Order: sequence, then C-alpha cells, then structure tokens
Amino acid sequence: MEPLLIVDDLHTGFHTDGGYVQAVDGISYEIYPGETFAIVGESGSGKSVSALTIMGLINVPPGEIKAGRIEWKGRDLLTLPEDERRAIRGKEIAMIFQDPMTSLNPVHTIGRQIGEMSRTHEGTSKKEARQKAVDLLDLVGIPQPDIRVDNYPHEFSGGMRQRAMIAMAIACKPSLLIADEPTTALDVTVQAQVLEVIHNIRDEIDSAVMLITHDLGVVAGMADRVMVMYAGRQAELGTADEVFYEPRHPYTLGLLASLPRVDEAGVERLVPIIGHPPSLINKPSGCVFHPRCPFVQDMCISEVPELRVVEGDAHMSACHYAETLRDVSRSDLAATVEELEELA
Amino acid sequence: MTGYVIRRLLLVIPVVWGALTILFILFFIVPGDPVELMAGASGRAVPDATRQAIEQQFGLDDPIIVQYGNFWKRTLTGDLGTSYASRRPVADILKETFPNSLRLAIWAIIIETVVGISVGVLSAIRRYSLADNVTTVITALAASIPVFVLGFIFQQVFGVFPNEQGWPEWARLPVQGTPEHWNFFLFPSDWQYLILPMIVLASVGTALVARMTRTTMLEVSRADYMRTARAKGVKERQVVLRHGLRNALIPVVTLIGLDLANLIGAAIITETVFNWRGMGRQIATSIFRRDAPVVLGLTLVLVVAYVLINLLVDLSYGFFDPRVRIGKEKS
Amino acid sequence: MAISVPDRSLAEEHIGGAPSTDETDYSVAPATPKGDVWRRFRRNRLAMIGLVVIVLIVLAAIFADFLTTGQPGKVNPGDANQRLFSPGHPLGTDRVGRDLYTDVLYGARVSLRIGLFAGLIAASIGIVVGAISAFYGRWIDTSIMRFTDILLSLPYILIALAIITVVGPGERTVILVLGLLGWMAIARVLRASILQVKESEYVEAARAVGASNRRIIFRHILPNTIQPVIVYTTLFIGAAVLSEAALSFLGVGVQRPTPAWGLMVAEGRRSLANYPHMLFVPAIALSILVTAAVFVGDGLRDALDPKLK
Repeated sequence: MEPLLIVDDLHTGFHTDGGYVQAVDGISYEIYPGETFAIVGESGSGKSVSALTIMGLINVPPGEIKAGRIEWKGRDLLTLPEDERRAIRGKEIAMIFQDPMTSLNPVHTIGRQIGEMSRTHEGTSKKEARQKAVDLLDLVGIPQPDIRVDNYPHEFSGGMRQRAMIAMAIACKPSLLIADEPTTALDVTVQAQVLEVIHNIRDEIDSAVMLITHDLGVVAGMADRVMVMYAGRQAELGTADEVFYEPRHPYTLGLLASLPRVDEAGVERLVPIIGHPPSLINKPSGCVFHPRCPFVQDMCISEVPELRVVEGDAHMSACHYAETLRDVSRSDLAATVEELEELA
Repeated sequence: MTGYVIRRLLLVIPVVWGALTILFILFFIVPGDPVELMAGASGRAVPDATRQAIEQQFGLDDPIIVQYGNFWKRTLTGDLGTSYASRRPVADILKETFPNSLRLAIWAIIIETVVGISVGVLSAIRRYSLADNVTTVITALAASIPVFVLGFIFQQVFGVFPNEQGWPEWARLPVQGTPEHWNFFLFPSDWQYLILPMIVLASVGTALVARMTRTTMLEVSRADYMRTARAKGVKERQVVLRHGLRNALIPVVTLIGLDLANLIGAAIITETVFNWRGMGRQIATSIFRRDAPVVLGLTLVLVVAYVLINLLVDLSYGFFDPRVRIGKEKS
Repeated sequence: MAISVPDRSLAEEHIGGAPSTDETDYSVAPATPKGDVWRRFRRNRLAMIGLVVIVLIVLAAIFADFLTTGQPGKVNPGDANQRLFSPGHPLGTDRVGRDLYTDVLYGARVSLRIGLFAGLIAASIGIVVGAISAFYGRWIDTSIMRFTDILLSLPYILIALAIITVVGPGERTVILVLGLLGWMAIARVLRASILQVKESEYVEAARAVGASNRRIIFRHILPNTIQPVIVYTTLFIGAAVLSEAALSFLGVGVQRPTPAWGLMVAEGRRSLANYPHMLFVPAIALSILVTAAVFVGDGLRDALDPKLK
C-alpha cells in the first residue's frame, strides 16, 4: 500500500526574543490510508507544531521550516504554491482543534461555518450547503439537526461543539483528518463520546486519522500505530501493541509507568519521570532525554541517537540502548527512580 | 434579548428624569439669584419693582414644588423658556440651530466610520510597516491635540494662509460660516463651508476608531477561529473580512456610539471656531452671556438626544453580537 | 544493570516561545511585579518620550519663579503686540502686553494643578464608592451602580457647562465640577476589578490556607485592583486638563489675571489675523502636554496588561 503522507526529516522552528526555538527537530514518518496514527507527547514536544506545518498554518516569520519534505499523495507540499496548498487544506487534509469554543466563530451560525467548507471547495449553493450541514450534524449524532443548524456556537454544549467541529472537518470527505487534542478540553464522560464519533466517522468516510494527544488512555482505544515525541524529536514509533506492551525507549517506559493503574491500587507509589521538560532553545547534547533518563550512559550525553528499527519489521526507537530495555519491567524502573530521588 | 431591551428602555426613564431634575435644580435652587441673572447680573442692585415683575412673570414667587411642577409642564409641552439676551423663545432658537448641528454630526460620524475603520483595517493588515507606524503617530496626535487647536491650525493652513498668498479660488477653503441652502438635508450647495468643520469635528473620533479597529483586528487575528477558518482552506481575504472584521467591529461600534459624548463637546468648540450656526455655538455664546435659559434649554434637548442615541447603540449590540441576542446556552 | 546518575545538572527551565496549542491558558494572573511593569513601559518609546515631556513641564511649572523674572498676568500696554523673539520677550506679548513666556510657564502650574486636584477628587470619591459597592454587595451594590449608571448616562461636558454657567466661573469651581463629574468611571472600574479578583482562584487559595480577611485585602486584592484605577486616573487627569482648557477657552474656566492656556488661546483668537503667535504659543503648549499625557496613559495601560505584546 502506498502511504498517503510521507514526512521526511522535518525541521520547524521559531525565532523568538529568547532565541531560536527548535520545535520540530528532524522527524520522519508515514501515514497509510485508513489507519489511525497517534502522536503522543507532553506539552512542548512539537506534536502540534508538526501538524500545523503539514497544514501550512505556520506563520513564516517568526516561524521557519528549515528542511524536510512533506509528501502528500506524491506531491511535496512544501514546494507547492499557496493556492494549491489552500485547495488541499480542508478538502483533502482537515484538522480539528483542541478548544471548540474558541475555535468556532461566535458570530456565524454552525450551519454557515460547516457550509463554508463545501461552498469554498465544491462551489455548492447556500441552500445545498445548509442541507449538507444538516446531514453532517446528523451523522455526528447531534439531535434535531435541522433546528440546530441555525444555532450559534455558544448555544451548544462543549461536547456538541466538538462534534460540530468534526462535522465541519469531514464535510469534503478528506483523506486525512488531523485531530489535535480533540478531547483535552472536554469532560471525561464526553471525551469517550467524541472519540467514538471520530472512530465511526473514520469508517464512514474512509479516511486516515492523525490523533495528537498527551493522554495515553485515548491512544490505547483507538490507535493502530503510535509515535512518541519528546522535545521535538521522535522517541519511539511502532504499532500500538508494540509501544504499549513492549516499549523500547526510557521515555515511553516512564510515560507508561507514571500512569496510575487500577489493578495495582495501593500497591506502589506513582513513578514519575524526574526533572523538567528541556528548553527548546538550548537542547541537551546527545540524546535530548538524557538529563531525565534513569539509565543514562556516557554515549547518551555525547551522541544523538538515530531512530532505528529495534524489533521486528517496523518497531523503531531512538535510544542507544533500546534492545537492553526489553528486560526492564515497571518495578525495575520504579526502583531505579526511587534510588535517584533519594540521591537528589 | 427581550429582557435586555426592556431593561434598557426602562433605564431611560430615570435617566431623563434625573437629568431634568438636575437642570431644574441648577436653574432655580443653586445659589445665584435667578432674578439677578435674568436682570443681567451686572452687579448693580436690582430695583424692587423690576424684581417683582420678573418674579411674577417667571413664577418665582411660587413655592418650589409648584415651580417644579410648572417646569415639567412647560418642558413637556415644548416651552423651553425665553432667552434673557434676545427675549426669543428658546424653542425657536432650537429650531434654527438643531438642523445645522445634526448635519455636521452626521457627516462627522460618516467620516469616523468609513475612514476610521478602513485605516484601522489597513494598519492591522500591514502591521509594523512604515505606513502603519506613520499612521500610529498621526492618529495618536489627532486624538490628543485639543479640538480647538486643531481647528485653528486647519483654519490657518487651508484658509487664512492661501488667502494671504493670493491662491486661486479652488485652492482655499472658507474659514467661517454656514451654508444656507441644503439639498436632501445633507448636501449643501456651497459645500466648501462644510469641509473644514466636518474634518475637525471628526478628527478625534476618527483617530480613536482607527486605533481601536487596529487593536481589535490584531486581537482577533490571534483568535483560534481564525486559524480554523484558514485550516478550512478559506481564502485569506475572506478570512480577514468575513471572520475577522465581523468580530472586530463589535467593540468598534461601541466606540462610535460612545463617541457621541465627545462629539457634543467637540461640536461646541468646533462650531465656535468655524462660526457654524449650530447648537454648539449657540450654547457657547449663551454661556458667555450668562444666558441661562438658552443654555439649560439646549442642554436639556441634547441630554435627551444623547440618552436616546445611547439606547439605540446599546440595542444594536443584539444585531451585531448573537451572544447578546440569544443568551443562555442550551445543551 | 548499570546505572549512572547524571552528573550534569538538569536542563534549563523550558523557556518556550513556540505557540503551543496544547498549553492551558491560565488567565488568572497573580500580581505583576512592579519591575516587570516598568520594564515593559520603558520599551514603549512614545510613552517614555511622553513621560520625559511631562516631567520637564512639571519641573518648569515648579521652578517657574526661577525661569522667569516677569509677573504672570501682568498687563503692560506699552509692550503690547511684541512678536516672537523680541528683546525681553522670547515668546512675544499679547494684546495688552502680557509676556507670553511668563504666562505660559505659570499657565503650566494652573493646568497641572487643576488636573491633579480634579483627579484626586475623582479618584478619592471613586475609590470609596467603588470599594463600598464591591465589598457590601447585594442591594447596596445594585443601588449604587444604578445611581452611577444614571449619572454616567449624562453627557459630562454639558452638565459641567450648565453648572458653571449658573454657579459662575473660576478655578475652584472648575476643579470641583470636573472632579465631581469624574468619579463615576473610576468607581465602576474599581468595583469591576475588585469583583473579579474577589472570586479569583488565588484568593480562594489564600482563604483555603487560612489567611485573614485583612491580609487577603491588602496583599492580594489591593495590589491587583489598584492598577486599573491608576491607569484610569492618569487618563482622567489628561482629560481634565483638556476639559479645563476648553472651559477656559469658552470663558467659563479660569479667569484673568491668572494665566491659563485655554484662556490665552481664546484671547489670542482676536489677534489671529495679525499676530497668530498669540494663539499658537499657548495652543502648542497645551497640545504638547495633553499629547504627552495620552502617550503615558496608553503606555501605562499597555504595560499593565500582560496579554498584550
């Protein structure tokens, strides 16, 4: 199968008063048609910036896309003229954002905003666009869509707004739907509903989904493949099963270990990842995770680890000692971290 | 929305009542013998006979409550008193001067809105460019230089100086006077007289509108829904106008409405400077002559007009901002 | 399994300037440190220029006695109508021989005095009313605010003019009138500010920790709520100076022999055709002061608002 999207050695940074922020620092991956590809990482890991770069929504000053190639269905997006890029935006690649309240225009009706998609890309008339909006609202599970279509965003609840955003994004049946933290701003109960909508939609319009989140729970239910990012670089990349059950990067280990587990309640303390996220202006030398890694060695400080296959066909990790992590269990990690904390 | 409208309307009544009462207090109760005021306040003692005559004529010998009642009765029937200086009914003076002030005000608002918003939008789009910086300084100056200074500067530059230098007719503007003949109420045949006063009156407001529009456009450009619109592939111009401006204008409309207060004050001075026969100039001259009935009568009318216009502006929010119109969230 | 403790110190605090879309917006701001505000203000070139200008004018007003030997408002018909740069009269004289340089200097005192006192009156009343309204709440708040709304609905200038027409002109009247008509906006601003801070999360946190009411008021509420009042009062003083100039121009403000810039503009108007400097000297002085005040006020507002950049 041919990949829909090939991201090759992408570097995106920003010129700020404090220096040059290297937000995305040489990442490469592919997304195939119909799959759900999750990008996981904490705030500042660069996951959102990489998505915005794909969409072409980075303001070029102060931003700068230094290198790399973004190939969409065979064409390099970074070399396309703006109007061709705009034609793709929304129509073939669509994006939904974290906060549906601020991401929707308060002075236009929901119907008009959804309709804007088809009117911009498919030239439909106002009436047709409105009808289409009604159908889409129905598809995402909003009751009484023919009435709701004329409501304003502030008349919707949080979950409904996010569904409306989804409806808007899929209006032109895009081949790739990028969801940037779609559930972060929502209540837990609503989160599940929205995720289910995304799941169903994927089947309905046969699109791939790029799910960006910091919440591993969200990923577990939905993703086919997972990419873990840290400080603008890739830490690990593999299928969901591989990354969750056989992590091969200390950061992934740390993330998984720091999740409170229901089945171990009362047994162990939570295992944190010690330290703070690094400055994106002055990154640590060598492996960018080394200051926080409980297993750090000399080579980690001096040499930048490459993202390489460490297991099976396509399970990749950017750690010099990835293979040795096979035998590290959660309790091993907990013990090591505890020791380090006592020393500090 | 209806609740909002009703509450807003109800507010008008106490305001107007309050204003009228304050003016009544000023007129009749404040220290300063009204009889002396009426007799010319020349400092000389008022002879008894004159005093009695005036008191009788103006009903000043009645108890306060009665005077208050009479005041209301008279005002509501349109009798605003009589000028001390000219002995003409204030209502007549009003009829003559009101239309001229209205014309000037309407033109000023047109300029403020059209020029102010355009300059603000352009400034925001070309942020930090040379044009933007120049505009920032010019608007800052226009907003701070006192109206009368600006008026005199314009007079000198566009009227007096060309006159002295003997420039041809078309290159200079008249510095004083009011057009006589108007078509469709707003378009004077001798339009040259309108230019300078109109620009001067609009200057402060235009500068403020331009600055506020720029500020709100910049704020709005950072809003998430702008990013969403771009993510949908909408053309940049549509994004700016259809999404950005539409939101940015909401506070600007407020400003234009609020500017009416400034307009009234500025009008008094502008009309004086350019000898424009409107209410403003009338008030200024009457103040100078201590002609209280004219001042108070015209002030009354202006206060009521001001309150009503503010009401309209408040109500128009519903038109611009659906959040006000529709209110609570339904789940 | 060999473990080595990283002997390198942990990486610097994440500075971050990248617009991260997954950052939560903490819109509750704790008290902005004063140095921060001053630094931001300093960056604003126009505001700094304005500040310098105002300081210069204030100094000139204070030391007027040393800067000129003339008597303010002294009429000297023999010296009438002197042009700019005449001997003994650097800025010329007016129709009745008053030295413009001297009058402009002393006029600065008048403008500043009126602005400051009017501002003080407005601020004092405004703060008291606003604080009472915000702290007592309920129907006291509602009735005070209703009353304030009614007063605010009236056009300020007209009422001022009307009052002065009837009561009579003079510096004291002007100060009182301007101050009494200006407190409403300050009360409103303070009240809104207090209400916002009262319910904010860090006050809740302070309460949860057990801080006493007085401590909360002084250490948390006051520092944050006083800022908009300061900005507003500064802007108000600028506006008051302008209003006084307008009133004097119309003849109902300061009266001769006290020199006031607005008054001088009105007087200069009569000789505009032949001796324009009589009008423009005080006019320009006025413009400079007001413009500087506006720049400073804007700069203050921008510096105190952490969101703007």
